[in-house]
Amino acid sequence: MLFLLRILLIGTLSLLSIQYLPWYSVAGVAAIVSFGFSNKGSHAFFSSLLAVWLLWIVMNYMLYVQDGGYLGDKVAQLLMINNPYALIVVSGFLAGLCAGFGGLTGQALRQLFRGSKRNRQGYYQG
Amino acid sequence: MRIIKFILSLAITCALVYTLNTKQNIGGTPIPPLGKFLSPTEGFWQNIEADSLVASGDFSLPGLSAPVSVIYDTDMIPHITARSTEDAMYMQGYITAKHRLWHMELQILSAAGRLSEVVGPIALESDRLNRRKGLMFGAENGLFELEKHPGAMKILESYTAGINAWIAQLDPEDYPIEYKILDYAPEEWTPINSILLLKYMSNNLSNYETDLEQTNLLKMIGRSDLDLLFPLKPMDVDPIIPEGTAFDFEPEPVDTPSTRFPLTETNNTQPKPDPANGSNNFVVGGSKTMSGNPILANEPDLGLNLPSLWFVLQLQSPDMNVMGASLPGAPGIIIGFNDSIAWGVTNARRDVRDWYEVSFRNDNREEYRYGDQWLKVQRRIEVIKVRGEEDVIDTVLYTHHGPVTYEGDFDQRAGLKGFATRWPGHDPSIEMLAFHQLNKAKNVEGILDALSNFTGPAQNFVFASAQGDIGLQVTGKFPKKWQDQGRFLMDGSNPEHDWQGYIPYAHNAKAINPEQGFLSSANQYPVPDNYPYYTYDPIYEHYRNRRINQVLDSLNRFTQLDAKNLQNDNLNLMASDLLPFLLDSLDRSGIAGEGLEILTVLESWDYVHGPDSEGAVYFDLWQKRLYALLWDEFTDLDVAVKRPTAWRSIELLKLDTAKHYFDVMATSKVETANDLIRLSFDEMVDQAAEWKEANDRTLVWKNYNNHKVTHLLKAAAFSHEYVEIGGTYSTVNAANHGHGPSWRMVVELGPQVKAWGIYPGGQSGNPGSRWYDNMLNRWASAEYIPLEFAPKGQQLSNDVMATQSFGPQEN
Repeated sequence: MLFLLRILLIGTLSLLSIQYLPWYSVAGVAAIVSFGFSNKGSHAFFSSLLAVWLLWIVMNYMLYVQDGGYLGDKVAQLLMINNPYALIVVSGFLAGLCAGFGGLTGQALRQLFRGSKRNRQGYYQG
Repeated sequence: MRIIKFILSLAITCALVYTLNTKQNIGGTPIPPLGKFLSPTEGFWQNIEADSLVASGDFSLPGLSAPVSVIYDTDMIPHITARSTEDAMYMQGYITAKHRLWHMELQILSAAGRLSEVVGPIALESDRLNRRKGLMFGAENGLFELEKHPGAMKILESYTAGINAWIAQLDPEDYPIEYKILDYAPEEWTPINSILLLKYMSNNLSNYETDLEQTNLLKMIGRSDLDLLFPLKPMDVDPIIPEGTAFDFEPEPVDTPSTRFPLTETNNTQPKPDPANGSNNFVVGGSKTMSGNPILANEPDLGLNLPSLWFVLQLQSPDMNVMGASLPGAPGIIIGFNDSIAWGVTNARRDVRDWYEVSFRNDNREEYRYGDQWLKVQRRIEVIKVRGEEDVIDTVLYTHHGPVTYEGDFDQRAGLKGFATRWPGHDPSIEMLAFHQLNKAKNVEGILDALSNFTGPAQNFVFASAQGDIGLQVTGKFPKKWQDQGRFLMDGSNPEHDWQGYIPYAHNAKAINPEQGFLSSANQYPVPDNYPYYTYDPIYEHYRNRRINQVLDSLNRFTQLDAKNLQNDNLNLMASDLLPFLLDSLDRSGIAGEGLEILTVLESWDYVHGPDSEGAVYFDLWQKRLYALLWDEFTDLDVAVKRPTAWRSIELLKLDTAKHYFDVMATSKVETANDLIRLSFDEMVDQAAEWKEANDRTLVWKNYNNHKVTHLLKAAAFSHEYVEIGGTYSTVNAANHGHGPSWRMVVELGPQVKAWGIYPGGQSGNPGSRWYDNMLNRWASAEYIPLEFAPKGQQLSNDVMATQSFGPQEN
């Protein structure tokens, strides 16, 4: 459940951020969300990846349909993928991957802070 | 441990983002920055148009002085109505940039020798060559001259401001898709770009000279063979200016020196423009037309690419109402009509680029010999920025002749020699003013006045007026030359080899209202024998022009439909000249099977290169094999040569002279013309069989010729192949493997102007637009679109797709 909520949050924030910022801001969004909400590394990674992957698929597919596939088909051929749906899935995966590692980075940063607190405690105890 | 995890994932994230946001090169294939290119908000998805491109609406723009209306018709041709010529030009710039920004800027980058900035070292040689040619030097001289004409300069500045108004409001996601593929951004437009564009066209159209090749041949085969193989004109010449035209002026004298040409050999020469670049135009006077009105037609045959070379529009202001084809990047209309006149151009073949051997004083190359003195060399430092690599610096030396194109490490020329080029394209000139005046001209006097400002590329301007006059003038700035001057490499240290000035404008060959009632040109030999100046070019056209004159001569109630049929005529006079002779001379002993079938096809062939013609294929293969066997002496040589023209080869075969060239060098036998004909026939039969073996398609003209219209990036996804069209380079419909009629126009003048046009592409430069290539198939099947010309003071009312109003922006 929490996992789905994270996907929803990252997806929504990413949708907003790419209206104003470059596409790779999705990595930043994923990092911030993963920094803010405690979780396992794998959760951070996969929730970010899936959120942006799905966002890309939905947005690009809507544009593709709106255009009747006219340009999407040509670009798929240009990039030697030849299948516009594969193009949409692959492009989403690439962006998703950036977000995934962004999420992992945010999670690792949180761990780092938590870790240093624990170390400090250890120091005082010792 | 945790710190390592953090650093590692941060590093991977950064590396991924960086890689996906940067143009890559995988195994030599450039890959766009995929993350950016495929993003829904920045990438190519933002280039989809559906139907939204030219929505109606009200807009405001900085720099306009009064409201301007732009009405798009259903073929997306904009009809611009402004309250001043400046505003009309501003709007032309704005609208052209909107639809053709990438293409217009790319031409400038190429001309300026700056392609490497965008595509990397792959363009370095082309960049160096264009800088060595001094195209920017010519443009600088052109701008300097234009600045002396404030009216014309104002036009150019308005056009520039319009382009920049479009560029200024673009966000990166709005850039044309090609910028995204190549990952760069458009620059601000400057007035010199437009002049450079015309110099670039000029270079493409006036660069056919073979001076260095002719010098090599002179040394190799001697003068008498050279004259035999390369006569000044065909035997049955049909010149542009008709026989019988009087030239009632006193020609200016030309002194012929007695000095010799230097016989320096050259291994490699610059690449030449496509020899198939050519054009047709014709005009029929009221005495020969059904309506009694003059009918004018024109079609420039050039390399056919997408985005299309031309952009069609109508420009209206209180003192101008003109429509036709414009070159994206240049203000005004290049080929078109207004309410009083129509005009069209073909390239005038005249060698105006000459080469001078320069002798430097010493290795410093700071001085060169001229007469009995040493003159100073000017240096121009060319810094070529190369994407992803260090800048390349080239120093180009300039003499009073012009830039020393061949010199030093550029072509490994040894010693203290270099070749400088003399070309009127480097001189101050004001073509832009010429076109502007032409756009506004009211009658023949106005046209001739306008053309007096036209330097080059030399063009055969055909024109007609609503008053009923027709005319044709070979127009350009032509050096007056002595016999053979500039045909060969000349001695740059000998002042007698310099040009002695130019043929006065009034002495240019022209014909106005000739008795025959029509005029035409197709890049053939220009003048009858009584023209008093020496004219020379290495490659005259000899088939399209005679076909046009044949048809025009035969029709007496000429209509616009006849003009369209003639533009799309696929009858090949080269075939009707040559094939009966080949069939008569062919030794048929032992020809069987496929050879016999091919013979049957050829014997019943009507010389028409229709899309489904089989005979056209066999004829084309046969004559090409014959030509290759005939001139085998001139292949694989260490020095650069140019083989004789097709028309001269046919003359020599028929005359049975030049027998010593008939021998095939690879065989021990001494071949005759008939041997060559049989040998080439057999080779043709083999090649036809090979073609069938290698291809799934049937062997007919359209499949063999494979007419292509290719995107400038050579991207197959944005290109077309196997376009269903007939024709070859020697038919009036000169569609030939990616080359051909780049804009067909037919205009009937009179109380009301009627005009039609078509080109192989579309008004939009965006591969994502429905108007990117929507005219292509209609062009191939000889259809035309009516050019809806709104009369003066009126706006277009038929076939309106969108109406846009632009007002001055309040500050």
